[in-house]
Order: sequence, then structure tokens, then C-alpha cells
Amino acid sequence: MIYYLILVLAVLIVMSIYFLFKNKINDKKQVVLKALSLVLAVCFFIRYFASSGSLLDGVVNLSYNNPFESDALCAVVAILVWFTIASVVIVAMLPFFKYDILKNYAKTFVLFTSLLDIIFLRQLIYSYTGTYEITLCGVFMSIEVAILFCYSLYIFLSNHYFKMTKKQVIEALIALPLVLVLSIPPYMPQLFFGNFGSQALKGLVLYHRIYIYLTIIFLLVMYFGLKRIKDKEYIRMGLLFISLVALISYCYDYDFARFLEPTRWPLHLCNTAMFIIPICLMFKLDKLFYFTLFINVLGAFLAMLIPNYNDTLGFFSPSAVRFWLNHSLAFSMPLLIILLKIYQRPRLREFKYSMIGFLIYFVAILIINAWFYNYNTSVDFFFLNSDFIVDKLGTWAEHTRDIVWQFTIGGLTFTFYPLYQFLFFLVYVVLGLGMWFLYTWIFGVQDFYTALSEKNRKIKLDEIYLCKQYNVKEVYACMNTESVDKLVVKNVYKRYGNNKYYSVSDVSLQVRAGEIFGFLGPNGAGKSTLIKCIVGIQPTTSGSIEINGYDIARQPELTKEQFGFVPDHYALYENLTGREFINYIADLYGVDQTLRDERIKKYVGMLNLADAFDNKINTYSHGMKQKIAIISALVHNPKLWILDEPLTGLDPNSIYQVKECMKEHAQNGNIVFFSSHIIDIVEKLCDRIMIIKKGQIVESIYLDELKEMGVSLEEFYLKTINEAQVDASKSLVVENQIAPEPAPSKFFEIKPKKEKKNKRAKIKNKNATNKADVDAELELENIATPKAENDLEFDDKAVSNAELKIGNDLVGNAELNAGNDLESDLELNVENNAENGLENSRKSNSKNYKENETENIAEDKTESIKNYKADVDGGQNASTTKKSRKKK
Amino acid sequence: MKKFETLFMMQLRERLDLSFLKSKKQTMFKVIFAILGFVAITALAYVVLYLCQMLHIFSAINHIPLSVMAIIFAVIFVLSLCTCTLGLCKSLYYAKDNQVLLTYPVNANSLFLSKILVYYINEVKRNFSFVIPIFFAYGLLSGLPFVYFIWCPIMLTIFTAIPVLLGALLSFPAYFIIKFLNKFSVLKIVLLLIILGALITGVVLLINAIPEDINLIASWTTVSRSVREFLSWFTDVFYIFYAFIVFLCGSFENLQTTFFTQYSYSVLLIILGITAVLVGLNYLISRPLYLKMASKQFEFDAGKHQNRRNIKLNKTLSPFIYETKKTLRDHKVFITSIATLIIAPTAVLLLNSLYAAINTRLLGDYFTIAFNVLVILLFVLAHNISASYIYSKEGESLFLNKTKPNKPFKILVPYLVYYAVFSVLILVATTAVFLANASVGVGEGVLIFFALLFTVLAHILWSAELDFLHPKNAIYRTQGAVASNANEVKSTILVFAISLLFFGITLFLLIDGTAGVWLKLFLIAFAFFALRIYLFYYKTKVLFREI
Repeated sequence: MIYYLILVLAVLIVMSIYFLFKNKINDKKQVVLKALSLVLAVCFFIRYFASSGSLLDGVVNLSYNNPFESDALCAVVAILVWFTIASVVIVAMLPFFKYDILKNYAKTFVLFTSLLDIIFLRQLIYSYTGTYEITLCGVFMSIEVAILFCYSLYIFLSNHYFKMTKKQVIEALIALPLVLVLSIPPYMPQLFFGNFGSQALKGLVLYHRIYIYLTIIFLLVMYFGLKRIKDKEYIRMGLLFISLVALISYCYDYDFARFLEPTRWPLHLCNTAMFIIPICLMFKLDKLFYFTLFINVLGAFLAMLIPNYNDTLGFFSPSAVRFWLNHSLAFSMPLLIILLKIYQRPRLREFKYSMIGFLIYFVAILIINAWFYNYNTSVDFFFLNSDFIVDKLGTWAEHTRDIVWQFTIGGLTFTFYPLYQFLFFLVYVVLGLGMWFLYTWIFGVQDFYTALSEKNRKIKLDEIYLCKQYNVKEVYACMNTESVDKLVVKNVYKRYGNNKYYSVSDVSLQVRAGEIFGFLGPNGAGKSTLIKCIVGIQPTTSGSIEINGYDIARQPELTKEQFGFVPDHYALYENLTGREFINYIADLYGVDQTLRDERIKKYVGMLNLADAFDNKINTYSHGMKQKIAIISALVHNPKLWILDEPLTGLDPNSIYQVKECMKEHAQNGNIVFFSSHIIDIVEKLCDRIMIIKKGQIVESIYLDELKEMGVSLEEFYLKTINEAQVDASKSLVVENQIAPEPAPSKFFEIKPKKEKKNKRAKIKNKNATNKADVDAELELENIATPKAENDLEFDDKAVSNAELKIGNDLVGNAELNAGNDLESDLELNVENNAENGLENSRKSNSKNYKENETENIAEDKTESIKNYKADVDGGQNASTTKKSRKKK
Repeated sequence: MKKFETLFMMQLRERLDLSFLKSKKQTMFKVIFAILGFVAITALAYVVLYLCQMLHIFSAINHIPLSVMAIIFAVIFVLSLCTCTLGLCKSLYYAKDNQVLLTYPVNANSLFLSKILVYYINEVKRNFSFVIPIFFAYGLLSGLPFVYFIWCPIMLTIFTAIPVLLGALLSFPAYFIIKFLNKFSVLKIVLLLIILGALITGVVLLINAIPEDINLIASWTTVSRSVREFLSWFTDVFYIFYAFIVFLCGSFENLQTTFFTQYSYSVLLIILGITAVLVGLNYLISRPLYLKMASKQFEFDAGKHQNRRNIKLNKTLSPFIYETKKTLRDHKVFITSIATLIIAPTAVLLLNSLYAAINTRLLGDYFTIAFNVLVILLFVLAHNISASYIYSKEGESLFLNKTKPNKPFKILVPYLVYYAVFSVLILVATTAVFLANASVGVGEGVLIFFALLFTVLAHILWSAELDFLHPKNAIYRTQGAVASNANEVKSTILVFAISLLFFGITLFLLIDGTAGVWLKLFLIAFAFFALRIYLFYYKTKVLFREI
């Protein structure tokens, strides 16, 4: 009865405190709650250690040693004891962490537990004290239950009662089994299920192995469960909860009397971990943590392999459960803490700290062992005094204990085994060093798979985005209908490994159907790199590449069906015949029998390969191999034919035939993209050329224009290469910047000459007085009339200096910077730049998948037009000012 | 001289991969690991020699006779000579870098000499990682004086020149033999079959010679005498090797080892003399022929005109068929597979015949089964080491495959079909021999077979993964081969690690005595395979685009 009086009194006191502080000093409410949690912790601590264990400790299978009238009552009390421990830790942690999960547990789990505690208070106290008389333990337990109840009731009332979101319910339900399993007192399994066999757990018997498996499973489940959570504080809270409940379970048979006997202190290496881990998590003591990481983990692992308890223990005996709880936690918690990045990964300095810590611990334990041995001969912390370790290693190891140092100070005899103890220390330090290497390897593996997972996530997101965009499960359609029949390269950057410079920087180009496009540049300028990016051999660092409407990064397989590629060095299957190889390639592209026969016959005849076509490729000359590479690129009649230095090693007749093939391919409405150093051939073959220097496009021109100017391509090329300036800052990689800023770039649009002339005529007809105005007007027309946008282009010599920048968000604003360089041949395409901005917006917002994206795009364009108009007005002045400055 | 130095360093860098020298950290790691490797092999050799000494296998007293070291040295020498001959044949006449090196403004002498020198240094490196540790272990076990540990590496380094120079001489006829055999593939296969036939006959004779009941303890006196007689015979017949070992390890007289006697000086002079003669012969014979032969390989033959029809295959099936066809036409790979297919079951048969003759207890039976698992896995996994350079050896064609409209997994897996098929064949043969000799039921036999199969497939995938994650295409494209391919080394380590792991698991499960031993082994192997195929798929999906 007295306990209930104390309980009621405590409830009243707590409620009074609550009402006292409810509104008056609202900001100090948190302080009160924290104080209350601390009082709860103190009460729990006093009552937990005031009793020596629990009566439930000896209960087996709910019947043997049952202190209650019935098995059911025993079960209920046992469950309450168990749940109360979890409840106390939840409430004690609640005011120190901001997370809802604790509140949700408090208003549900803790509230119900405390209500049941009140109902079964007598039995609960009896289970600890063994008496219904008034005891210190009973008094404090009553206060503890009162605080639990009041606290949870307060949370219940102030947090919308039982109301929780679906996500919160799922979160609480997922975590609940873990909360309960980890807070289980070591005697509970035996209480409910008996000893579960009496097979000795020593040696690698099945039951012993099950404990080891459970440790590994726990580690993996916790790691993979928590690694998705980005909030480190949340993880810290979870791990702190585990370490606290584990500590309480570990101390289940401790009482104050035991703490008064130094010889029974928990100074074994793994025992110390039970205290060190929660302290590290609570107070963020990093140096102490690295000690446990390098020393305790190793010790716990070795202890799990060779346990030192009585070898007749059953699987569920409290001692065995406690041993495994202790060592599993000492092994897995530091690993979890470091792998989940609660603490920074250790460097050499941290390793040194841990070794210094170990030295201090070792020396202290040596002295304590020698000192306490005088009072209790069973003292053997860290096995430094006994022959437990050497006994496992054999006779040779036992001899290390033959050397003994003994001396007496003040009547106390101190005994040391210098050789054994020194070797012990040395071996442990070496093993610690081994742990260093092991951790380094583990971190490497973790980083590798984390990066892999991130990349995979990105790929999946892209796939989902595409499917969402087309509202289908798999996307087979082209992404961008506007780039059908075109090769469109937008703001492509490419960086190899950790190079300081981009090999290709900010390259944008567009090639249309029917064109033969020449790509020139000196060695190492980035030609092959760009081609490799286009054909998917190398991924781009940023930017996009679309072929016939398909994006190479997002729809690689579909995009690859659109082109055929002839590399700068043939790479063929030398053990296949020419015919087999071509058929193999044709199979990959799904070319049907009739077309395949027709095309193979045509090209084999054209390239004079008929005689050797059924011989193995390893018997071919360089030129013959190159011909095979050319046929393999054309067998599926691709929309885009890409050739990287294709004519090397070919005989004159074959060169002529290849050139004819290229012309024919372009005439059939396809694109030929062609890189070569043979300028004469380029000049005769191509409609348009582009020159790349140090990874940047420096010139783009129609061959007809060169003819009109009376300049040969060779002269033009040499002049451009020698005189063109590249923006070095563009090529320089800024560290920690994954992708460079997009957009403010030259956009070289390659269009058929006729259309260009028509447009020029159109512009001239407008009788514009100012060329810049014409340019601007044209651009506005581009934006306003999407259908006509592809037909628009600026005059090469126009003084158009507007650079358009489109922001990253969906409702991006176009920024226009007018007038920078009067003499530049910059061609600007507002629509394409706007699309660039939208593309970037799409990427950065891919998670959102806004359904009203189409509307946004339209809005975006309208917004761009408005901004553009406004900026052109202002920018024109700037342009004129700069023009006059330049004249001066 | 400057040109020679450049040429030499250029090839040396390529062959030994000295890229680690750029970073102090990497150099430190490399040195530390080299030392650790040296110590590990020395320790291993020490343990083996110590066991031989303890069991008095070679001598009645606690001692390893010099004749044992002479046999070890002779075996190493013969192996070294074979590898040098074949290696130099490849390096001198078949190396793809000849195409470039021959065009450099250096004379043929420099080119020839630089190639020989690079090869010699590679051999010395190999000596330091294998031969010298064995001799160090012997020195430590026999308590030889400190001077031995300086003398031995110096002398072995000098002596290494002999197999290299002999190999350079022999590489010339070897080149013609290889060329001849390449021209007539049938001859090559016939020759192989003859060798294999002889081998099998030898094994069968050996099996027949095994007594029905082997009792080593009872017959130890006889065995011991036979061993000593063999040692004595070897010393008499191959005195040259024994003489060198005496020169190297010192003569044991009056209970102490003496170096630098008149005898040792005379042996040293002989060695130097032989080296000088070989240098002269190489200068006179091999060098003039080198330039001529090295440029021959670039010539090609025009084949006969044929006119076959085009065949359309299914898009999924086609890569499997063509990749397998391509590998089958690689004679080297095919011959290795056929050889493994014949040798592996023969070895298992020999092993089981020996086991059958030994009267074992239950634990012995368990060991017998576990050893069978070990041997089978060692053979089949070793056959699959080639998967660790399967993509790299294609040169640049793997990268070109990236431009084909197929998923990465579908591009990479067809390469492995050949190895998977041959692994199944070898496994069927070896497991059948094993099961015929073991008291295991049909159901259990099937479980063992599939357990081994999954393990083998997992190893193929793992090895292939090593290659596509760290491809060596550039080196294969220029040189045709890589002297010390890190992926190959890792795959070889995996062979031993996986085999030993499964040996350990099998033995443990058998001794543990719990039910369903083979089912557990099957499940472990399946889990291993499932993990490897998942990782392979996952990595190809994510990383293939980046390589």
C-alpha cells in the first residue's frame, strides 16, 4: 500500500511541477523536462543497483523457481520488467533529442507500459526485492513509475494524442522489434524458453556459431538499415539507445556492494567497452572512441572465438546471453559508429592516440592485477595474470611465463611476468596495426560501394524520370523530337580521372541530316575524346548528347542503334572471318536477312574485299581490316555515321570508294560526322567544318563561304590554330565542383547552306537599321515560334553579342548579357540556350517530376522572352558603348 | 649509349610497371609488401624444409643434405630455361612493340641487347621473389653464417644470366618450331595428344604400381633408403648442379661451413666462362638473325577465296555463338582447356588410387573427401584464371563493343561462356572420378557437383570482374601480353583462397557431423555464386560506361 501512496504522491508532485511551469516559463519547460529525465535516470540507477539482481534471474521456462502464484503472472511481470527498461531509456533520452520517434514511443509504448506498471507495481517491486516490505528499491521504483507515467501522459496530451502520420507509424513499427530485442534482460530467454540445450558453448559447436552468426547479422542489419539515414544525429540517438539498454542488461546482476569491491570491477577489456561506448556517444569523446575502435573490437572478436566462461552453460543461460551481449556490442558498435560516420575515420594520429590509450590501460591493469592479487587470487583482468591465453597456445607459450619478477612494497607482494606480458603487449599492438590495415581496406570497400550505389541511384532516377515523362514502363521513343535527324551536342565537358583540365570543355554543336561534317584539330585537341563521348565509349562529365532524338546517357542502347562508328584504330575479332564479324554486328543491330545480304554484297564489292571476305581477319592487311570496320559501321544503315581518321592505310581506290559511300550516305538523308587530318579530303568532301583546339571549339564555318572568301581550308585551318585564343579558365577544373556552370557558351549550329541563305534574305528584307536589333528580333522570333526556330540563324558577321543564360530552376529566368566582343563570329540561338537551361533544370529537379512540367516550360519560355526584351533594351546601350570604345 | 639507355628504360618501365616510383607512398607500400612477400615465402619454405628435417625424410640426422638443394635448384633451372626460351621467343620475335622499336634510330644490336637485358632483370626480380627465399630458408635452417645471405643473392643474380642467354639461343629454333606448328594446326593437336597420351599412360602405370596397402610407417626403412639412393644417384649423374650448390652454400667440413675455397673460385670461373661463351654465341648467332626474324611476323598470308552465305542469328544468341567460336579458334586457349580436361581427372584418379591404398580412419576419410574437393577446385579454377584478362586481351575491341546497342551485362557475359562450358566438362570428368572412388550417394554426388559448379562459375565472374574494372587493354594492344598482370595475380590468389576455403568448409562440416553436409556446402556455394553474379551485374550496369 505504501508504494501506491508514494506513487500517487510522486504523480502529484510531477503534475504540480508540470502545471507550475506550463505557461509561465514556457522556454524553461525543456529544462524541467531534462531535469525530470535525469531524476528518472537517478531513480532507476538507485533502485536497479540497490537490489542484487532479480528473482526472475533463476526462473526457467516460467515454472522452475517461479516466485509468483501463476506462470501467467510471472510472464506479465517479466515482460513489464523488460519493457520498463526500454521505457526508462526512451524517456531519459527524450528531452535531449528532437526526433518524433521518441515522442511517439513515449505516448504509446511508454504510456501503456507505465499504466501496466502501476497495476502490477507490487509484483514488479517484489521481483526485484523478494519482499513486499518497504525497501529503498521499492520506493525509488514507485517514483520511477510515477515519472514514467506523468511524462508519457504529458507527451500524449501535448502531442495530438495517438495521432501519427503513416510514415511515423512505419518508422516506429520497424524500430520496435530492435528496441525490444536489444533491451531484453539476459535472463529473459531462459525464463521463457528454458536453457535450450545444455551443450557446451566452447569450441565451434553449432550453438556457439549461432551467437557468432547473430553478431554478424546484427552488424549487417544495423549498418544497412541505418546507412540510408542521412541525419547523423538520428543515428547517434539510435546507437546511444542500443548502448544504454545493453549496458543496463549487462549490469543486471550488479549491485552497490559489487561496486565496493575493486577486485570485481569490470576492468576486463571488453567489459570496459560497455561503458566506454555510451560515454563516447553521449559526450562525443573522440580519443576514447578510437581506443575502443582499435582495441576493444579486436579483443571482443578474439573473446567471441574463445569465450572464457564456464563450459557447461546452456544456450539461453543468463551468463551466456550476457557474455554475447557484451562482446557482440563491443565488437559491432565501434564498427557501426565508424562505418556510419558518426566519428571521422581514423588517421595515423588517431591510431597513435589509441595505442597510447592502450599502453596506459595495459600498465594500469598490470599494476592493478599485481596489487589486487594480494586480496583476491582470482583477479586476472585482461588475462595478464593467469595462464588462460598461453594454455590455448601450447607448451612453448607456457614457457614465456617462466620468467617472474616479484617484489614487496609495504607488505604487498607484486608479481609480474615480464616476458609474457611484454609479448602480450607486443602482439596486441601488432594486431592493432593489422586492424589499421583492415579498417583502411574496409573503408576503401565502403567508399567503392557507396559511390557505386550513388551512381546506380542516379541511373535509376534517370530511368524513372524518362518513364514518368512518357508515362510508360520502359521508354522506347526518342526523348527529344526536336533533335530528330540531328546530332546535338550541348555544353559537353569531359574530364579524365582526376586531371586538372577538361579534355573537352563546353562544346556545343548541331549537325543536321544530309550533311557531311568535318571535325578538325591538332593532335590531342580533343577530337577523339568528343567522338568517344558521342558514341558512348566515354561518359561525359557534364552536358548532353542527343542522336536522332535519343540521349546517349539516358537511352544508351536505343541511341547506339542510331549510329555506326569507324574508330581511328580498327579493333576487330581476329579469329573470326570478315563475313562472320559483319554478320555478328548485323545480328546485334537486328538487320534482317535480305537487307543484310544486299548491303554486305554492295559494300564488299565496292571495297574490293570479296576475295578475302571468308578468311580470318588475322590474315588481313591494315587496309582490309579498316574496310571491315567501315562495312560493320554501315551494315545497319545508321542515321549517323561517325568516322575517326577512317582513311588511314587505305589504298587510293578504297579511299575513293569510302568517300563515295560518305556522299551517298549523306544524300540519303543521313549525317556523316568525320574527323581527319587530311585537309584536302575534308575540303572536297565536307559541307561544313569545325575546329577544336585545347578541348574548345574555336571555329565553325561552311566550306562554301571559304570558297567565296578565296581562302583554302589549309590556310584557314593553320591561321585558326595559330591565332585562335581559348579560354583557359573554362578548361581548368574547379575542385569539388562536379559539373561546371552550364550555358554561357558559343552554340555552333550547323545548318544546310540553303536555309541559312534564305534566312539571311529574310533578315535583309526587314530593312533593319541596326544589325544587333535584327539579331535580337530574330532571336525573339525563335523563342516565340518554336516551329520556325530551327530555320533561324544569325548572320555570321552580325554584331551579335548577346549571351543568354538560363537559370537552373524550372521557372528559369533568362539572363542576357549584351555586347562583349564586337568582332566575334558568335552565333546565338536563344531557343537552344533556353532548352539548355530547361535541360539543366530537369536534371536538378528530376526528383520532383512535376506533372505540370509542360506548362512550366511554356511559362519559362514566356518569362525568357520578357526578360530578354528587357535586357536587350538595356544591353544594347552597353553594346554600343563597347563598340565605340573599340573604335577608339 | 644514351639511346640504348633510353630504349632499355622504356621497355623496363613497361615490363615492370614502375609507375609506383612517382609516389613516395606507393613506393613505400610496394617495398613493404615486397619485403612481407619475401619473408612469407621464406617462412613457408622454412616450414617445409623444417618438416622434412624433422621427419628425417632425406637424412637420418637432423639435416637437409646439399643434394636436396641441388635437386630443387635443378628443377628451378629447367623450369627457368623453359620459360626463358618461350618468353624470349615471344619477347624477341612475337612482341607487338617490335613494330615500333624496329623503326627507332637505334641499331639492331642495341635493340637485341636491351630486350635481353630487360628479360634478365625480370628474371632476377622473379628470383628474388621465389628462388632466393628458398635458399634463405635453407640457410636459416642450417645455421649458415651471415656471409651466406650476401653471397647467395649475388651468385644467384649472376647465375640467372645463364638460363636467359641459353633461352635466347634456344628461342631461335623454338620460333621455327612454333611457326611450323602454327602453320599446321593438326600437327600441334597431334603432338599434344601424343604428349597427353604418354602422360596418361605414365599415370596408369603409376596407378598400377601403387601397392594395395600403403603403410608408410611399416615400410619407412625401405622408403628412406630409396630416397637416399635417389639423392646419391642424382648427385652422381647431375654433378654440375651439385657442384654449384656446394659453391653457393659452402662446403660442410669439420662441422663448419666454409666459403671462398679454391674449389669455389674455380666454379665461379667456370660460371663466368660459360656466361662469356653464351654471350659470344648469342652475339654470333641470335643477334644477326633477330632483326630478320622480328620483322617476319608482320607479313600476312592471303587466304583462299571462299564464298559463304550470310547467316542471321538471334540478337541475344549471336554474341554467345560468335564469342565462343572466337575463343575456340584461339589454339592456345583451346589446347590449355583440352589439357586440363585430360590432366585434371587423371590427377584425381591418381590421387584417389593413392588414398584407396592407404588404410584410413574416419578422420582420414574426411580428409580424403576434402582433399578431393581441394584438388578438383584447384584444377578447374586454375583453368579459369584466363578470365582475368579475357577482355583486356581483346585490345581495344572491348571498348568498341561499348558502341553496340546492347546492355553491358549482355556484352560481357558471352565472353565467359567458353570457360563456363569447359569448366562444366572438366567438373563432370573430375567429379565422376571422385564420386566413383568415394562412398557417396547419387543425390549427394549431384549436390557436390553443383556446389563445385557454382563455386567455379563464381570464380569466373570474379576474375572477369577484376579485368573489366581494371582493364589492361592498352598494354595487351601494344605488347600482346602482360608480364605481371595484377588481375591475373589476384585471380591466382583467389584460386588458392577459394579452394582452401571450400576445403576448410567441407572438412569442417564433415567433422562437425551435423546432418546435410553436402546440402550446406551446396547452399554456401550457391550463395557465393548469387553474390558474385549480382555484383557482376551491378558493376557492369553502373561502371561499364566509365571504363
